[in-house]
Amino acid sequence: MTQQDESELIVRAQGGDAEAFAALARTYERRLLLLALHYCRDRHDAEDLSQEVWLKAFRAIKSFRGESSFYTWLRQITINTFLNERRAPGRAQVVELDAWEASRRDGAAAAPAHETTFMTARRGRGVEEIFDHQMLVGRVLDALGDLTPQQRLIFLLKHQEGMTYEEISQAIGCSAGTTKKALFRAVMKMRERLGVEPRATDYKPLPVRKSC
Amino acid sequence: MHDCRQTQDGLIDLVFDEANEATRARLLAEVERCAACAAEYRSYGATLDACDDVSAALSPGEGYWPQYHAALTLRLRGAATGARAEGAQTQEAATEAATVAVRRRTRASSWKRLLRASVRVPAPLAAAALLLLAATSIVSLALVARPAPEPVVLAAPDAARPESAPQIRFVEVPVVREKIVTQTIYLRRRADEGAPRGFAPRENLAGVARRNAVAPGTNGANAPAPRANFSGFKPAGEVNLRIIKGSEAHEQ
Repeated sequence: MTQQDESELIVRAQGGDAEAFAALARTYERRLLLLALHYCRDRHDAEDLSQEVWLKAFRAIKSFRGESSFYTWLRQITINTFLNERRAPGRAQVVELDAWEASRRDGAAAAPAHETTFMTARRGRGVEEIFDHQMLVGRVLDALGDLTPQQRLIFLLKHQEGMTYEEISQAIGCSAGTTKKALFRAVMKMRERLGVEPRATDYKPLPVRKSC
Repeated sequence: MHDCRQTQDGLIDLVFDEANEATRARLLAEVERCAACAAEYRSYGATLDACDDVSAALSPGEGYWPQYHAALTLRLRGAATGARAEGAQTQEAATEAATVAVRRRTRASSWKRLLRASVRVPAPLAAAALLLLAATSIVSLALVARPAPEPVVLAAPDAARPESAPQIRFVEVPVVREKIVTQTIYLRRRADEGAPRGFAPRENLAGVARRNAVAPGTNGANAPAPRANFSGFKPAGEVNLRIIKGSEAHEQ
């Protein structure tokens, strides 16, 4: 979708056109749901939370002045909704993930060529590898669950969204130093929970990670 | 000189690409030199790689999204309809409020009309009415201005007053200082008096004194115990005698 198309859709949505807003949502819904899924670690909670964000955005679309990008505006609504969310901490279920895997396989036929290749490659993995992968998923989700909601959100905003310290601190309403400390603690906890201990022997220079 | 602590503090910035060019180059050089710092850096990277791997696994397949989007569109339509209904309700409420305001205005204007209403009356009749009104006013004012007559109080005679409402009077009475002298006299009843008890005539004080007095010329050996007498007793004021019948034993 071009910038012009997006602007037109925004204008129509501001006039109360739900279809235009739904078309706008189609662009960002995957990104938003994935963020919610990492935050909630439960599929149903993530769906509810992401749809709540979209509804809030639709109700507030008239206040969008175009001073920032639509996604930046939407992300601020997302952060506020996540911070206000007071659900009991859940745990992602492997069964749910299996169901998603099934939906992934079902959709493989209709997927574009490059995605089909990717999925075929994944399907080609052995049972043991899939089991190990599911164990890793469970461990990562547990590790995310050990973080405080603020640490988790800061970690996700940095790692998933690629926001800078300044952007995160402005969005959450804390200092950049606090953001950095929270991020450091989050990484330390995650590392400990995942059992990734520093080993001096197998050093291999890593490429510097680039944020999204 | 390499400082592992300082280097490792900066590794988080290096991993998340928050370090500027100079810092990044310095940190990478430190990591190249120190195996411990390199291992630390690598562990951060491995942690984030695991998270990336999980993100890919968590992402639902293509078959999921049409369903999700349909549900979202439905909710958005519902919200739009709700908003429209809310808007319509708001409009209805506004119309109702306007109607009420018009009614109020109408009611207010009828009051104004009533206040401004006038009746055509012939001049002589109006003059007569005015004169009558003036005369009535003058008479009323005169009655009000006249001083009120003194209230007549009919005093009822004392006898006629009921006893339940006694009249209180204050009378000044001179108080005489009293001097009370008290002397106790015991009278012994003689056995030979003969007279049955209860029939003895009451004797006055002078008679009692006379009887108790010792007769002149007697030695008094067989005489009874000396009796009290009042010889030489001169009361200055009032004399208050208390006569107790019986013997001295009663005194105990």
